[in-house]
Amino acid sequence: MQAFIIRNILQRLLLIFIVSILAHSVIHLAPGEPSEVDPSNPRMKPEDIARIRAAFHLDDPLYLQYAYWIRDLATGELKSFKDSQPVLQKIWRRFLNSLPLYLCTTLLVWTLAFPTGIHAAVKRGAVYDRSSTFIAYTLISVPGFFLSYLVILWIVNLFGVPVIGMKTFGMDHAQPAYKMMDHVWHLVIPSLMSALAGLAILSRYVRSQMLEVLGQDYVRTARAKGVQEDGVIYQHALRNALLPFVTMFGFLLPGLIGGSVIFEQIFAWPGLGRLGYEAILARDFPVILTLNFIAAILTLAGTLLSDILYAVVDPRIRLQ
Amino acid sequence: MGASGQPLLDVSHLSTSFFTDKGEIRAVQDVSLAIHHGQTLALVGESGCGKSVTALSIMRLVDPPGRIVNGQISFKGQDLLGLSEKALRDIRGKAIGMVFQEPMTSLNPVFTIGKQIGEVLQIHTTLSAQEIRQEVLHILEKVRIPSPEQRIDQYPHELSGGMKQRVMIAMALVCQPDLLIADEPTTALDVTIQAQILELLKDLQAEMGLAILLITHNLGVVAQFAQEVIVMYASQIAERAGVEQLFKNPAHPYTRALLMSLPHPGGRGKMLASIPGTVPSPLYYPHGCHFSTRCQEVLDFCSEKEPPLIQITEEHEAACWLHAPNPRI
Amino acid sequence: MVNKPTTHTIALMQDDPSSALPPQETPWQEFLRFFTKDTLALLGTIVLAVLLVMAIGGKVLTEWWVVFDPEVVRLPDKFLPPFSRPSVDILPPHDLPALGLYLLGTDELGRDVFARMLQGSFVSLSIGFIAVSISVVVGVILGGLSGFYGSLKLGFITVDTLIMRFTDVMLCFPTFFLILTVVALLPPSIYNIMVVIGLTSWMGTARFVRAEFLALREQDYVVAAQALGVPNQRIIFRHMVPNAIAPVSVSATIGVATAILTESALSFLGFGVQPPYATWGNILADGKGFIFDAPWLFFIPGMAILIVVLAFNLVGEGLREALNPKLRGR
Repeated sequence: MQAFIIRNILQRLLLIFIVSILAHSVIHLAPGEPSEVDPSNPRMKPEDIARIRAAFHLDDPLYLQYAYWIRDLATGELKSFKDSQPVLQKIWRRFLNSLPLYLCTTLLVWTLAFPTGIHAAVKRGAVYDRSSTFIAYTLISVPGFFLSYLVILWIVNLFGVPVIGMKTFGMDHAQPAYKMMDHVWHLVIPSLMSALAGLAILSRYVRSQMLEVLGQDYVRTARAKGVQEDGVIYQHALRNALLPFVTMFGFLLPGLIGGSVIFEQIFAWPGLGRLGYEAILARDFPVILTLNFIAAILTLAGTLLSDILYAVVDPRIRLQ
Repeated sequence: MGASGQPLLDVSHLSTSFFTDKGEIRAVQDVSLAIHHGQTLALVGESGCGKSVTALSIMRLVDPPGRIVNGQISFKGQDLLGLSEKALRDIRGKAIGMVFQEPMTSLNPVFTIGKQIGEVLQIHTTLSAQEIRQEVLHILEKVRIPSPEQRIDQYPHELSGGMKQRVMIAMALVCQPDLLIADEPTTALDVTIQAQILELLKDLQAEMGLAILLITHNLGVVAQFAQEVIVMYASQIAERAGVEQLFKNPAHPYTRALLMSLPHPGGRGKMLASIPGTVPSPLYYPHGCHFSTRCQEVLDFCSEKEPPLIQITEEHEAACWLHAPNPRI
Repeated sequence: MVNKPTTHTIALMQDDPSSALPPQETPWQEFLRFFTKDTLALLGTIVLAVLLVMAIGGKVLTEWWVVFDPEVVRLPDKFLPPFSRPSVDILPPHDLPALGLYLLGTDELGRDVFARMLQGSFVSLSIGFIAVSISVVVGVILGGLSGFYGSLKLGFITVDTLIMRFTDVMLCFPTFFLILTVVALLPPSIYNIMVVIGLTSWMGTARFVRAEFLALREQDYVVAAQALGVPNQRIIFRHMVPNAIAPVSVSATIGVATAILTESALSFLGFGVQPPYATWGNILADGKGFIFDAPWLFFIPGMAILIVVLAFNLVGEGLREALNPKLRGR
């Protein structure tokens, strides 16, 4: 087992190295200079531009820029082009904002997907199955922001649920209990909307896994032993159907950055996705680059976690 | 046969069909059989003749789109087809045990074999966990698994095919049922292991007074093991006889052809006989007698009217016009 | 006693129709039979057929033989709801809409939404198709090379390892974020968007194709063909590719749906296709500013995207079930 883990980690470290080089090259090779951030700004004289370029090593050859980037990243000295704030700090702050939204979304997706998927599989072909299938396809097909805006139109008028930002203006001075409640209230709609597509996809996958397992011989054996139908489904079948989902836990990590750009924009949520978007608008290379790099690291860490979890959970692999 | 009294299991006119988008597949048509306490009845036939579906129907384990469309199944006087699910579950695993053909896939890969066998006891008895473990060790010994103390906590993939099948048998017998349904228990195993498993079943039967419904396509196994034999062809019963009668005086041309196709001493150097043609598809059974298209002794109206089971001697029946008192032409 | 077969018996055996096997059907017929059973997939196919007609007809009718002009600006007639009549008295006759009314209303510049949607359908669809084509070509080539020549060594590393590691690297990045990054940094152009989407979504196809080739390579008929001296290219193209087509076509169909959604998301963020091209994505993005004043400007493109993407997804799933016997009845 240990050898398995170590081998996996080493492979991933190599990949991280390659990824960092690739990401760095792609971004720096793209046309568009950071000094073009504000071309209409009359105050940006050629000397200023030259100064910015020198400060950020932009005239050096590519591999030197790469070296500078890695050095600055490692020492925490990496600064944003836009406002010269340390990049890692910016990312950390926004991460803390994104985290509750992400946790909420993930919780919603995973707790709702399993019951719906299992139920659809067990009652295959019945009304529930067919209607939930259709709803799932619709949710996958609808543009995220389209549905969100429709919901915003409705809900805001009907219920007064907040849909902008993380907290109500002026709440900073309220008591902690009220602040908490306010936070939670602000989380509801954004996390619900972010969860819909993932919920649809995951519940379909749960359904197809359950169907495959329910067709196995050992399910028939369980029935022949006199096990109750509930036991057949939830113990004998589900336990086997869950195996691949354990690996999906690993993929939760990278999701933190990816899907959130759109929803954070819609709901004005000051999170990581929004940070990425603003950085792209401002051509803030260090931030863009670091975000992409962190995303890649999270993915690799996530898949490592998945591989390990799978080995732990499936007795067939464990004993290899 | 030779056993008297109420049969343990009495199946009459059982018909099971599968309703697919290609039409109704009649997997079992009008099958009747009876097994008495302690007796072994063998159900023989080629792949696809309906013998497995018959067994599954008895336990009501046929999955949709399959359905029992007709018949009565009576076990120890109880009508199985009319029982509630709960009552049926009480019987499954406790009064009737079943062993399936594929030991490789019939055991749940994520539970230890101790847990899987113990589960049967958990459901049907009120024994404590300790007592269950003892019972499981006991039955593992009985099915001749070496080192049961170690094996009990192992997972199915750590066992060989033969041992897995022993575990299946253990699961089926741990509650001391009256009837064991064994669906081709040795087909997927090596020949040497086959013999061992059959020996085991024989000994267990003698020890526990088990009745066995043995499903197989291997006539050799039948000869060693069964008292009564039913031969099925294309969803119907072709012949029913005591085992000696069947081998000495096969009445149905299908049975005769089967026996002829077995290699036999003295046949060296001669070509193996085989039955011409192939088994008909269940969607397109021939009109009249299902075997009429391949039969060497076919008569003119065999393909017009299905023959009923005709009594030949007291314990010997065959569904063949050849044995009708006045075959009309 | 076994009698010799009579002539009668032989006659029976030879031409008895009732003992025949079920009628043979070609794989194509079998596929059609399953596919047509799936009502949702059929509906999807109809929608797609309509879309195709609309897209091609749209391109023709809005750009070549202009019947519906999407570019005419009619300020007096802005923000008109669907089915409104144009202001005949104010507008010059050549600016009037073709059918005598604004079928889907007008936007903030008085442009005919119906005409814009028609024009946009072609662009949206072509973005989807070209992006997917790129990803399929890249995926099939890489996957095929990896599957077939995988054990060839280039220096110290095998072809298979090289390609698979590269695939892993590409898979490291969250797709949308990567697309956004690249599209935002490149000059805005419709071709860039197509290419970027295509170059970031080939990984799934490559994996499928590689898996199929690995499985097929071990098949006896491939070894037999090689023993007969059949050149490798012929084996690949005549025998293996047709088998790999099934998962690839499923993946491609769903890929078009994803590409259309991605394009609309990019437009929402401001990095999509720029004017003068109209796509459903940018019509939708423009419309979001007028939700309260002119909801149809938002609703119509949104619903259109939903229906089309749904159709692609349903057809894709239908294909998957019909093409793969193991998955049938799920």
